[in-house]
Amino acid sequence: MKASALCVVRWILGGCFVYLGWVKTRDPVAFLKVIREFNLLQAPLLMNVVAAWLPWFECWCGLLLVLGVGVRAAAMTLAGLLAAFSIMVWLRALQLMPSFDGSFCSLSFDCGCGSGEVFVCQKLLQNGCLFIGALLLVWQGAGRLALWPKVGFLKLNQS
Amino acid sequence: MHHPTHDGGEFLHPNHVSACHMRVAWLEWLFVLGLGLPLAVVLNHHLDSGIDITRDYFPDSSPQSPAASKIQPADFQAEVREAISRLERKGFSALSMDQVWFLLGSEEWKTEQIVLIDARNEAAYAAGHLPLAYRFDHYHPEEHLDEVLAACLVASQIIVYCNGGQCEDSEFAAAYLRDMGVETSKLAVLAEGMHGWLLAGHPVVLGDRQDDLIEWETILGNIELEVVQP
Repeated sequence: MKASALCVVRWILGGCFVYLGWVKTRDPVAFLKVIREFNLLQAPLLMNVVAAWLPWFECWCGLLLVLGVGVRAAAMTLAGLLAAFSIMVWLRALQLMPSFDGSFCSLSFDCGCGSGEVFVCQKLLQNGCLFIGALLLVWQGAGRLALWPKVGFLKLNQS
Repeated sequence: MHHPTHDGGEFLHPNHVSACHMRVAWLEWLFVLGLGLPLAVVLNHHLDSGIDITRDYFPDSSPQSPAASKIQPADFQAEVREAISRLERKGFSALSMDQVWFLLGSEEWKTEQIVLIDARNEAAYAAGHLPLAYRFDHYHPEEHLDEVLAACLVASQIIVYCNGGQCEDSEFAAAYLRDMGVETSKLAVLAEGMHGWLLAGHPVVLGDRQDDLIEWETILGNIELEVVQP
């Protein structure tokens, strides 16, 4: 894959996480309330830790991707987070379906993703695209305009 | 051992490449996680609106029901009934809108024997609140606790409200005040909350608390005029 295309993927993925993380850091209490609604974490300490630290960590990983620093590890971390988020959104949608009259894809709720109320299918599709982008970066490397480290297999022998 | 590549560069021996790559990968992981997590901890700690990791923000609460969402706003009265039974379980009394509306004209309210507490956030308070209500966001108690606690300790009745229905912030705020020494018997919650208040067409006041009384009397005067001259 072309290095310039990888660079665009890196910027889009990184930009998304910087933005979505930043929105959550502006109102961590709102994020905490959404986490509680998911009913997946029961212990107050766990809920607090996720609400307090995860948004900043998302920003950090997104920033690393934008700058092109530690790209493979950052992309792999974000791929893991995206997979976990998607499973949680899907489970939450299944929880809500019995009390909802419409179809699965017409169900919308605030998933705590930083983008407000969203349609489930749209969110899952969006996460899927970002997940593929993250895997591309893990597999292919940072592409052009990355600051550090330049670790493509083909370049290792020159360092 | 070097091998030529298609673009003129050279491969290292595959075993060597793997070892180098693993070393760089570990460095990357160390950098991303080892710096990212402490950074998140520090930033949250220094932010005014940050979360206190050690606090239980939802005391005495059962897990939320699966339908606890804004997807079915039509059945607000069912939410209110559920809120009332939840309040009873927690030992707080629930007040209806009519009771609060009646109290707003009383002398006890004007002399702050009856105190209103708005448990919503700053933006919601600024957009409209009950007259003479103190703002007390239990997620950030340090902002107004001294002022609110002083008023609560001398009051004979304290009415806490948030958005009503599924909103539990008024209950958590009441529980917080109870833990700070306010008698449980003095604490009551407006179960319909601000959502029910507005649905009923009752007026609210805007802006700073010190101007509330003048604004409220003006609003009431206008309502009386409308009634006299329909």
